[in-house]
Amino acid sequence: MTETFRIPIIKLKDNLIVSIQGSLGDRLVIQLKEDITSAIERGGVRGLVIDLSGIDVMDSFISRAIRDIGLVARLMGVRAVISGMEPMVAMTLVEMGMGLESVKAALNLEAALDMLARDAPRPLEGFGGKGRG
Amino acid sequence: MSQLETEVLGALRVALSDIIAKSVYQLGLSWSKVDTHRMGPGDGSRLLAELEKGIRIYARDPAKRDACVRRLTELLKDGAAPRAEPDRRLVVSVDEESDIVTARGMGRDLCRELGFSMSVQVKVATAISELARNIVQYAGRGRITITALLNGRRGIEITAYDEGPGIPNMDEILNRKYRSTRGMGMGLVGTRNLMDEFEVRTGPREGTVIRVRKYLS
Ligand SMILES: Nc1ncnc2c1ncn2[C@@H]1O[C@H](COP(=O)(O)OP(=O)(O)OP(=O)(O)O)[C@@H](O)[C@H]1O
Ligand SMILES: [Mg+2]
Repeated sequence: MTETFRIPIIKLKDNLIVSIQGSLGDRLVIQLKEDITSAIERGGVRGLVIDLSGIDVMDSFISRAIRDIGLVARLMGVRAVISGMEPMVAMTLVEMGMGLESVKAALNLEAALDMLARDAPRPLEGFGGKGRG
Repeated sequence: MSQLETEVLGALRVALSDIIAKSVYQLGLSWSKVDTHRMGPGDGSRLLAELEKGIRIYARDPAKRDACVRRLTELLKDGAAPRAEPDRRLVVSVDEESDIVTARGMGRDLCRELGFSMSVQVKVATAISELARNIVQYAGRGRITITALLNGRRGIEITAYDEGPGIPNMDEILNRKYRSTRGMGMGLVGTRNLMDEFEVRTGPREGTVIRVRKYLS
């Protein structure tokens, strides 16, 4: 089952949405990084939301994967927001001393999308965004 | 089970259902989650104080009430009082990534079954995930045991064993002077921060054994 499964990436207007469920292994993480960067490369993407509401245990490996994806997206000019982290998971991460400070966070998917829409920079010419002013 | 234990459990069940029935009636609370038939002999002494309170509040006939409290106290203090309940132990072999999920799920289920709080459940599952992932990543194979500590101080013990290359720079890692190439390098430090006890035995010839404990109080 895990041989062929890959995490789906949804494109909604100019945002990518990825919902991470359960557990990630090495292979899935590498695949996800590739899929996200190539989706960004295709253009028309200004924001990335990584939704974590389906994660009930987040270890340091997964934290690092998420942080890395956020950083890569940022280097490619895309703002990344994580959303929906379970309260117990958040508390556990803090207690462990794990830093996810480099990634912006929102309470849930809707708030994340609002956040991206709100702080959206003026779209660049020919960047695929629908001009807004 | 001995005659005495059977009697104690019987008395406990009657007293408890009585209290519960009255509580439900008086407070309109839902007690559906209380399953008196799952009580073990060791639960008696732990419940005694609560039972006494309950009996005092709800039993209307003072003579019966005192008799009930006396009888319970006697029964629990003599024979069946804190008698060792066997610790419950699960063993999971860890050979591949999917075993990480299995192991931490089992740890979580055990915690839930024993009524440990959500926060303990998540911490235990996270610690298991870190230790199991390290086994898969650095030793290839090994095993994890999860033990419910039910005598004395209640809690959960997790032991991760492998016969891999060992961890030569343990001090460096625990003092956070180490930079990992595969992760945040926070697995072991994070696990130590989450748990109450953390012990390591490691060497190039013997592999690695890490034992951690989380207590309930
Ligand atoms: N069971 C083990 N056998 C051999 N080496 C290990 C074992 N567990 C950990 N190590 C070594 O100790 C280092 C630190 O482990 P730790 O779990 O703290 O961080 P990490 O695995 O590198 O990153 P992270 O857990 O944050 O993803 C590892 O990089 C690895 O070199
Ligand atoms: Mg690790």
